[in-house]
Amino acid sequence: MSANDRQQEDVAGLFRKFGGDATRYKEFAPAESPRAQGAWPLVNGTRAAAEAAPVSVPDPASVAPPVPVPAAPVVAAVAPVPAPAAETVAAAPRELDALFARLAGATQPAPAAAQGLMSHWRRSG
Amino acid sequence: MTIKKQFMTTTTSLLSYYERITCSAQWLDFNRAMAAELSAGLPPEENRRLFFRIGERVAKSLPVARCDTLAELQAAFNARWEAIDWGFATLEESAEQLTIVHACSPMAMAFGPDTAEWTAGFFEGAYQTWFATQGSPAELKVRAEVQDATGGLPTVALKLGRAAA
Repeated sequence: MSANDRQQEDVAGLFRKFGGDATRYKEFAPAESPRAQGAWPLVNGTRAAAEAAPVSVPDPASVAPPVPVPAAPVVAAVAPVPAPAAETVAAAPRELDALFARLAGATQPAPAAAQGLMSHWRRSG
Repeated sequence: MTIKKQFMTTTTSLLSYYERITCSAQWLDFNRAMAAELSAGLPPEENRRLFFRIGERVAKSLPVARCDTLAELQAAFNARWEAIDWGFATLEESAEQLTIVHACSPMAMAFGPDTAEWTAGFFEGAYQTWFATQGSPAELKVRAEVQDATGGLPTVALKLGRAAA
């Protein structure tokens, strides 16, 4: 007896118990809806949509003033002004850099990576 | 009483007043109870580390744009603090360290005066994170100064300088 036959027999037996008509039984199998998956990406463990659009968390280390980019020349005869390189802006001497360097001392090496000051509060795994 | 001493007394009273009103009644008892539990459950150095990490998180959630000068940095810090009603800071450089004095934060009122030893970790973490994003080298650390037990200005004083060996 195949699995399908066993299932039909189980259904018939069940319907006999409460006097129902087993021939009217229909397997409930809702069709997969791509739209619903998009709307509920985490339902039924469907994470594809969620993973496709990861939430970006701003990194304070990357915060930098916007680099002005000159507009493209309208007249072809005018030579285009090269946009300043980001490195040039970042490397510009700052009063703060001089202050940090003075406080740190130019000849002192950076300490080796510590085990982690906050190790007690870090979750393992 | 000299005029200078009278001015200092008035300043202290004003700062104390603002500190008192910075923590809402809605959270005061909750925070005090939590502080009592933390004090009972963990040694001060662990609580200080916890608050350091909280400070790190807060600073990361309130990023400060890259500044050129100390005055710009102070203004940027204070714009962030003011936005969340956390008082203000003044920065002053000397030969070997940068002094940060933070006034009018709700910390002392929220967690109680007995927790100052470890709640200062919050400011260490916050300022350390902000200075790091400004390019401060790893060997420079922010450390809170020991508070004057005899009673002074209701402020938190910190230093950015080379970490003690």
